[in-house]
Amino acid sequence: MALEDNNDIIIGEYLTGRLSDADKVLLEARMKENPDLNSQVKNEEQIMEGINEFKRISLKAKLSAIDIPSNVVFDASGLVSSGLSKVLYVAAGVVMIGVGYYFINPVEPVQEQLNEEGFLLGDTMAQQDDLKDISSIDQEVLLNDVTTNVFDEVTKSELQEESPTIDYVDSENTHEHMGQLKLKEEVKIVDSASSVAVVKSFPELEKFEPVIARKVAKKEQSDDIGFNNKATRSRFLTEDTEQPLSVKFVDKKSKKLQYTYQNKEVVLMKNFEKS
Amino acid sequence: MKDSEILDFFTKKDERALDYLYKKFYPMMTQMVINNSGSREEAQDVFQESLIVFWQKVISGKLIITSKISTYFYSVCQNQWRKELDRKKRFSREEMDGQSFQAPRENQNLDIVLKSMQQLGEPCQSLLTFYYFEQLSMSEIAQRLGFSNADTAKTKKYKCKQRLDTLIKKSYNHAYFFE
Repeated sequence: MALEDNNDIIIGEYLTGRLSDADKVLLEARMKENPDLNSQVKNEEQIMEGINEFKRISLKAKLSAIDIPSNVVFDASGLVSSGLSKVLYVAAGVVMIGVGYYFINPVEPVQEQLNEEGFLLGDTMAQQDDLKDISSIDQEVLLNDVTTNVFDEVTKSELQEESPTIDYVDSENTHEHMGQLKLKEEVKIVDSASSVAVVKSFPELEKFEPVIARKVAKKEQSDDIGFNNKATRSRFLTEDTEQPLSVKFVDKKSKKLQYTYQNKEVVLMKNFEKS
Repeated sequence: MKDSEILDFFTKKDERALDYLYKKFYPMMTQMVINNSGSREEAQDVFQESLIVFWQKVISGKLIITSKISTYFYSVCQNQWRKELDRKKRFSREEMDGQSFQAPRENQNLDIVLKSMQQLGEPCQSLLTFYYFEQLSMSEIAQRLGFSNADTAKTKKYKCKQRLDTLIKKSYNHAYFFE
């Protein structure tokens, strides 16, 4: 390598701070003596600055390509909010409103006590009105569901086989005992053939409280219908035949169709969808 | 990521640290410029410039950070914005005095080098920037560019530098550039 080439390397090392202290002092001394060498060092310095600037521009271009969310918003407090944080703010606001509403209108605990009319004290007026206003069909539907639930085992094991008339007797549910929640219900099964009422007590019924059934029963008692009269029993016996009749819905969820079992035949009573 | 982990990236001269810091500090640093009468574009430019200055200082190995990176970097940004404000003041004063703005000779020379570097292409661009900007050793350059050893890198660097000088001389009058 020529001396001039060697100078380039030394100048390069000098400009990048790689030259040893001794060589650095020597070069600076030579620069003072030799103006050409001095200008050469200055030119090399400009080239080096150009190379560095080239690198800076490349880095800036690379940094500019980094994706910073365009919806970054600067607010007066110096905080930065993006679209995501806006959503979080809205969600937090909704939660706070909900909590505030809860404290203003606290949910009252359900009191599982019966009032004088046999309704749950926790029932709302709307629920009670619903029970008062139910139509005869709805009463049937409700009672059918209730009896299905309450006397589930009875209807399955005895109603279907023996086809008895089921009479509902709440022997202890008198005004004297109204305040007591202890319910001892008896199911009076009347054999349609012999018309002999056989009272069977079902201890297992004491395990649960047929609340809705009592509501309907009390409702009918208040209307002087009575559970033992024909109108009530028509749910189970038709007037014409005195034959057992069970009402059930094929599609319980939609309650579109109502079927009856009458004279050992299944009859479509009503298509609720059309009505 | 902890400061020590970031500095590890810097020590290795890994540019991924730049990307990380850019994303992390962008809102805070640009906000500082905007709060001090800067535009969004100026804020971004100052932030990028500061990050590169910071990068250069750290990779040179001469910088020892005793505070948190964010604290130090914030002061770098503040200094850069002050410089920019001074430059703007000087520029507006010159305009009011009716002096026509003329790019200094140094800036013209800078443009010459930039254009020449553009023409140089790879791998000479990377090699020369590794040597002058990142100040990597010949062994490190050889490793990054896949050369067999440091001597090969040294020879390649010499040839690349010669090519750059040739491009500069070709494009412009030698006497003008080296005035």
